[in-house]
Amino acid sequence: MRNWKTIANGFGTGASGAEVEQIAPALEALEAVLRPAIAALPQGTEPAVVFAPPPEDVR
Amino acid sequence: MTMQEAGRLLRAGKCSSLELTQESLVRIRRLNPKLNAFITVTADSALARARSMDRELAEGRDRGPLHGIPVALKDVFATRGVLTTCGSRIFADHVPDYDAAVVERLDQAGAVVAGKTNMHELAYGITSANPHYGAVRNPWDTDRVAGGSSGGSAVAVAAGMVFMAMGSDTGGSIRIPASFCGVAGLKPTYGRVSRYGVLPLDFSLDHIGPVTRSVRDAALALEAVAGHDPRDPASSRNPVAACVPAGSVGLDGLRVGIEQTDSSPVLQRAAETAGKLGMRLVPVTLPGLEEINAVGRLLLLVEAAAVLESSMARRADFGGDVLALLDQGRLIPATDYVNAQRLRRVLCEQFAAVWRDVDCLFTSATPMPAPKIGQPAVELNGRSVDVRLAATRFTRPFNVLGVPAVSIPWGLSPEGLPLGLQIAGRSFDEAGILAVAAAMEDSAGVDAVRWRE
Repeated sequence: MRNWKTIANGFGTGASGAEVEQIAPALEALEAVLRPAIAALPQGTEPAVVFAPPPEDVR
Repeated sequence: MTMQEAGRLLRAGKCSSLELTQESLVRIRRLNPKLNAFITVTADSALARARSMDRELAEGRDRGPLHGIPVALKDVFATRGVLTTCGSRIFADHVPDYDAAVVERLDQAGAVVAGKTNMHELAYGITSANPHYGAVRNPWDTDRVAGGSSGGSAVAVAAGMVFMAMGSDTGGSIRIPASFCGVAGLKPTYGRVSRYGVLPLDFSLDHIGPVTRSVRDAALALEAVAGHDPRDPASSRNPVAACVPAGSVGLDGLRVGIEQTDSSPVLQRAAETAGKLGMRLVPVTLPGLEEINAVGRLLLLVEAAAVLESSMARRADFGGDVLALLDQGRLIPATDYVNAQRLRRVLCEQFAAVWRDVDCLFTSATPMPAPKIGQPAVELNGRSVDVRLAATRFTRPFNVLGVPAVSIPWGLSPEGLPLGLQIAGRSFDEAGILAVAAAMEDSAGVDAVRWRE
């Protein structure tokens, strides 16, 4: 489990401790779904959104 | 009356664009104080435009099905010289000096813009209970939400204020209000309609589409606004296919996937009708529904926070729910974002296999009718579920996948509130899903679910 308050302080988000406490359960729930699925990803899986280089300048 | 019917009357000389526009403005004046669907009404420019469109028709210039038709724009579309608030205090005084691509295309198509519609703040939510401009109210029960984020667009169409309204959809923001208000809402394929001039919420999840009173109207609107736009980096070069369904649509043998985890009466009734229409029902379980929803939420949290980071010093200017989401987005590590995009690729590949077995998919658009304004949770299968997660359960996956999906009215709940059926299809197969939707709508009757004063 991540320490969301520390992260919020570190980033200087301006969110108060009470505000972070309020949003932490939603972040935890999201992580609980995603963590196992991400752990099972094959090493070479590329992101869905990838950089596309500019078209080659063929002379 | 649908947009198609209004167009027929217009061309038969039985009414004028000016009369249609005046009637629109009368209804807005009468109903908006109660429903709060509009932030800005552009009455003077609409009347001038209607006169001009009447002159063109009289001179033999017909711009097509939207010529002279009163429409509205969600207040997220940039409009030259007209306030564009995005439903926020952050952009409360924002008057763009250019038009969004969709606004340009509607202009070329001859539409008459009656105004800018109210919405969930910054298009970031599903209720349109806007803290700055007041809650959009559902005409079927004004104590209930209109859905969102394109809530004002759905209400403007449902209440007969305009024939069509444009919306945006990042996790269901066109289809959810369409479902709650008893109108049709179309989210086309990602890249089909230009996002140029629309405030971004999530670069790879944002879609633009129409809300209308019939499926064929949605198809007409899509044909008017779709197409390549070099100003939108994600804009597709795929040619725009004709997608308005014929008068009578035959779909014998078409394979319809019925989502097995969706036990709603909407889906059961839709399956029965599809079977009677000759379609073949194929039970399917959508792969990774929980994961795909979580991926969509994480990407949205992070990208929306990035888009709005420069405004985050103005914390007091955000509504509580939007601020909480923006705070969440700022706390998610970059590694999680990249991994969610990697997982998205895998889920898209898994989902692609579904299209080998079916031609389109049916789910309920929303698993429940419109909740009360301020209601935080709904009961689903004996469990209390956050309203936002419940409403987006079947809509968000199609934003993550980028494939087209349409919501059509499909009966009423026991409380007498509209419910929507969602039909999704393969990339760029808008014509396919609209043909199925039109056949379903024809079988029920286009006026089967219609709000009346």
